[in-house]
Amino acid sequence: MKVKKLEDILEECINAGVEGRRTVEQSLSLYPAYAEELEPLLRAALRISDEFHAYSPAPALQQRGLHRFLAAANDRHRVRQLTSGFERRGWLSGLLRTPGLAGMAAAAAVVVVTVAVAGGVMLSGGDNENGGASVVNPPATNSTDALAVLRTKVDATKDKALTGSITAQDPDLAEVQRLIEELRSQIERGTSPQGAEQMIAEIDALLQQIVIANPDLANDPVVMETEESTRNIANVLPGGATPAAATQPVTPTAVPATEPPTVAPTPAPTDPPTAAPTATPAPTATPAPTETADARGPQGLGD
Amino acid sequence: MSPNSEAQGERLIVDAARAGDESALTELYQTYFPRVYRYILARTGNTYDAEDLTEDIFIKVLEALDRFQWREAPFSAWLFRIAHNALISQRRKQTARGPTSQLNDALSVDSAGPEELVESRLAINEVMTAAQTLPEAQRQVIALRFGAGLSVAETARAMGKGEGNVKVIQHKAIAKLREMFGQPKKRQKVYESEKA
Repeated sequence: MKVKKLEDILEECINAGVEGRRTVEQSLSLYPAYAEELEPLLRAALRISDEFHAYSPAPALQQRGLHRFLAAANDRHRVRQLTSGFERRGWLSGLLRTPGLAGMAAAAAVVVVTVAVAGGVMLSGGDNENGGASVVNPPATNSTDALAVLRTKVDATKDKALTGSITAQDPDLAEVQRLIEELRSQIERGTSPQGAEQMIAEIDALLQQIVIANPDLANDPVVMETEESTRNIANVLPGGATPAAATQPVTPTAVPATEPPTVAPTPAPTDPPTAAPTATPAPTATPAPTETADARGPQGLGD
Repeated sequence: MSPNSEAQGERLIVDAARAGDESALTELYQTYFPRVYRYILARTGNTYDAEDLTEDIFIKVLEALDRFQWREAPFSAWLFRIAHNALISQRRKQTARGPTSQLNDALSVDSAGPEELVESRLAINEVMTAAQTLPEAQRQVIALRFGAGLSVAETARAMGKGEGNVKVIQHKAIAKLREMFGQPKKRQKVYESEKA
């Protein structure tokens, strides 16, 4: 017969005591051979337990925390709704089938909405006769360059978002969108940049912050009107409509949501959103929580 | 309720919370908030830190909730790993800022009158002070077992250790705390009289 170790007996008696199933004396009577050694330990353990459990956070603190928690959950839900709306678009479904691009596609969609909703002007060009954002900067020569430029722009935008000074018409935001588009097209042409996954996660975080700073954005009726705008963007994708058509300035208020696109049809309007379940922003950019409980990286709990 | 049905119930709540269900989110929050608070209090001995950090931890939990997977670790172990990581992060920041005040009047004691309140504060100060002197692993086990109210199995999962190991660490920690309680102090007198 296996002899129980003192630490096992102590644990059993602590549980019995904490749960109110046994008194200290009853526990000691169950293990008379250990009673002398067990008693002081058990009393100390129960004392520690009692003293810890006498303390609770103040109700006001708990209420304030709950309010903040639910508000943050609500914001996240809005972001998710917003991005999933775009995932259903035909032009995105093809993009979403590209491994690792789901988050980027969602991010791009939110940038477009952000810019269009508050600015009423698509991308940075507005009525730029040269075609808007596509000529703001010369395109980067390859995907690695594009990533580097994108990172710089995202960092600049992030700084503004953190200080609350970003506006939806911000040229940096439009530039981020332009660079995402450029990067996406390069990837579709066969280049596979390293670091794109991380970029996706960073852009996703940035966009969430922006949308959270503009809580009405997700439910704004103008969002619906920007559906047409996203189709226009699709026209600049490889296989889409001619760039000339796509770079025409778009004013969301001028194109009701219910109207069909005024330019070429979407690349794959009937495609089922097969990639939608994986389109949660940057699903592969962070490790599984059971391995890493915090997005910052693995940190064991032990010593 | 059996542990299995309890686990099943929690799974339903967690899954609903992930889907954005407000009542499930509220339930998760209300279940774990006091436990996280006590855990942080046990680790820091500072109510200001416990208050701020507990709120922040729940925002981090929310951010990570989508990525939580039902593998082997229970939800509680996963949550307290987030709490631990947040604590480490906060300590790094505090190291740069310098120490903050210790236990203070913001403590709220359940159903305690003024006298009991004072007595309890003395008591928790003593427990906290004693706990702060324990080696890290022992302090962690005490905080998770008695502060957070985790079982040995959950504590083991949260710490990435075996259950047997956790029991040994717990035994040593309690023995050490008991020795400290045994040292002559005002509070010890009270406790001995209670015991008698």
